[in-house]
Amino acid sequence: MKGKKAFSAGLTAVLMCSMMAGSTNMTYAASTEKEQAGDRETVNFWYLWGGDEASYIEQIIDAYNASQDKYQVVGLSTPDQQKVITGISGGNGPDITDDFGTSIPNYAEQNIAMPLDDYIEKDGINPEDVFVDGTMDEQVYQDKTYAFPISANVDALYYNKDLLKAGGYDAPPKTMEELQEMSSKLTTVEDGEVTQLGAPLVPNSYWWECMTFADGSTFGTPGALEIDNEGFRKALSWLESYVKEFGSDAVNSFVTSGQAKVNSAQDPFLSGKEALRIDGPWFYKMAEDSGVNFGLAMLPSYESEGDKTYNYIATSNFYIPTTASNPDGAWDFLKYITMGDGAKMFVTLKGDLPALKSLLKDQDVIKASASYDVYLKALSESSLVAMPNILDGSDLDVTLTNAVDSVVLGGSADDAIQEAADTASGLE
Amino acid sequence: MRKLKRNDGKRTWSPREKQANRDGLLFALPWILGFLIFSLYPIIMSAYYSFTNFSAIKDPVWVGLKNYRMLMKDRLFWKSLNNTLVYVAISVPATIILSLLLAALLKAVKRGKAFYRSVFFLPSIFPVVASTMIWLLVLDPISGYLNRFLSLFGTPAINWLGDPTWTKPALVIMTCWGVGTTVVILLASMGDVPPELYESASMDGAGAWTKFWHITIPGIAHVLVYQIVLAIINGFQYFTQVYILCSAQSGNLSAGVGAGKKNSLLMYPLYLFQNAFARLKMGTASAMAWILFIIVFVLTLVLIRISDKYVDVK
Repeated sequence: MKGKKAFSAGLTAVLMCSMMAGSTNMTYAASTEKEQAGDRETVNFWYLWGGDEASYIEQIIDAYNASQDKYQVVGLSTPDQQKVITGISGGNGPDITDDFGTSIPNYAEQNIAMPLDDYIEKDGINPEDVFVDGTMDEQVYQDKTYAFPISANVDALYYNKDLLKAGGYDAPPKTMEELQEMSSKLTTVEDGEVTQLGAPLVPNSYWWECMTFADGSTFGTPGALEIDNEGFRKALSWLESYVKEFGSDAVNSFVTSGQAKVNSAQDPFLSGKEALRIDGPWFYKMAEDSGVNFGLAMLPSYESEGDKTYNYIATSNFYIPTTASNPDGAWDFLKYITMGDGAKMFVTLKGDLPALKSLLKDQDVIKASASYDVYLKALSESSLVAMPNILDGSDLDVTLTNAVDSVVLGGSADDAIQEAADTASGLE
Repeated sequence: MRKLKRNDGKRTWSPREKQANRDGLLFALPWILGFLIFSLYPIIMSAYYSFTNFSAIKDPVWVGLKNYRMLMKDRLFWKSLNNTLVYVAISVPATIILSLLLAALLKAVKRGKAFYRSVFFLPSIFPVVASTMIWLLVLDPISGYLNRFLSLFGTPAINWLGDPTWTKPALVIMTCWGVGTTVVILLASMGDVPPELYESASMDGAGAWTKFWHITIPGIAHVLVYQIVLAIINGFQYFTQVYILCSAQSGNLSAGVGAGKKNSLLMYPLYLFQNAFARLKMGTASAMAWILFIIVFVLTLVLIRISDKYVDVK
């Protein structure tokens, strides 16, 4: 009996201890005290990149740690946005982390990201002078700056040279009208099934934003959204006529199937079934590896715009959470990775487009990818347009995507725009 | 727990029993603590949060019924509820009828019963993520195996996941593939029906259908009701498959809101999740959770009441 009692008491003690140990660990991690790593203060840095990209980030961290002796940045690959947010909300999160520009209004409103204005003022930085035009728009919410951009994503036109040649073209489209005309001529349908897509409808993003912006239109500004703008109307009207020409079922099936295979070996462009493609710099290496005979060109504008070009800009960024235990250290590292040597390492190692103006003409950056002559030109010469920086940004994106889907499903552009405008009127 | 001793109407515990109770409680303590901390406390707090504006990082601010009122005006809330109700309305009868048929067939099989049972049960132990990714290939409108199979009968290609008309049937097909657990449970309960009932029915000249309808169904009705209740609850909680399908189709769902063409794949739990983690509206998400709980609770109650009238639990 005594043995049994001892066993049960022992087991309970072990269980209680393990639970206590767990809670102690949590308490330790939740500590708001600045942790010390030797003589240095620790800066916890969680990043969304994984795999090879994580190793590039670790190289930047090592370089930063070697460059000074006050802070020790400790990196952690956390490729799950929700895990980062959960960590921050529980007080166990990082001192600095990365995200996308579109998240900033929400993070600002929910008190997740810390305003950087005091730091910016103290260090005498003018972000508009430092970063590429348009990239700071996504980092500011209600006149406060919450993040600095690390990369600026713009798009370019990929074209399959063999498919264009077979269709009687020896060069990519020079105007948006020509792109729309080529889209029809390069599309083939057999037995009610699209066998070759001439239009850049896969992926189901980027193309409609770029086509909207190609005549200088925008979706408006926070508080004054313009869903029914000339550019979006032109884009959806063209889509409506394209869908009518080839059949809603055929086009929709190709887009649905292609969308599910985006960036895989069965991707329609990578498997030689999509003639034109609007996509970001990350797609270049995939296109190269696929063996497709392709070319890359700047996005065309409508004829009415003459030589003016436009592009859709979206940023990745770094921000300091409000629950950071070492915001001073985080700010120091944030400056290094967005404005200092870390920014150049980030671009050259990872192959992203720089958000830092000084890197646009840097020879090491230019040589980093064969695609950069087009993308860097787009970044420095085109008018860059971002989506409105509103709190319900993801709802706006869904609303506009639904409008595009409605037309792909056989609806009219007028109805789709009307419905989208009605829905968007309720967004904050 | 050992039986109680009664003495003049008062319950008394012997020292040995007291010790046994203490030991029992100590052993159960980790579970009890886990339940209180990780189940009961969040349930109570979610009820409170549903009346607050709460982002998980700011302190919750009491807003009364605002979250519920906003949901009543939210188009996507109604869309997601409608999607889920349609899915439940099709999937529950479909899976139950299919399970019954398969169980009846398996019961009739004389040789290799264990083999067939294993075959039908196998999909239930498949990881959901892996099976959903496979279904994405099977349901592809151009190269999918299902369309290829249907084309043998001259059926035109169906855009299962891209045409809002077909998304719910596609989900039901996926669900029907995983009915193995229900089949095994129904098969086991069919084995409990007294064989003499079938023998006497046969002597009275009853056919296979009459025996199935008048003996098998009443004989397993109590298990059937339980399976229907489970199927309804699972139907209202349908999340993982649509989350994976939409993530694969859009590339990144966690940052977005909505799902599928014209939001036809936006199931209620998925929209709840998006409110919580994409929009960081924990108060709204909590309100949605409680509305879902009330709907499922009422439905279950109604079903049990109805079954009480017709089902002999004995």
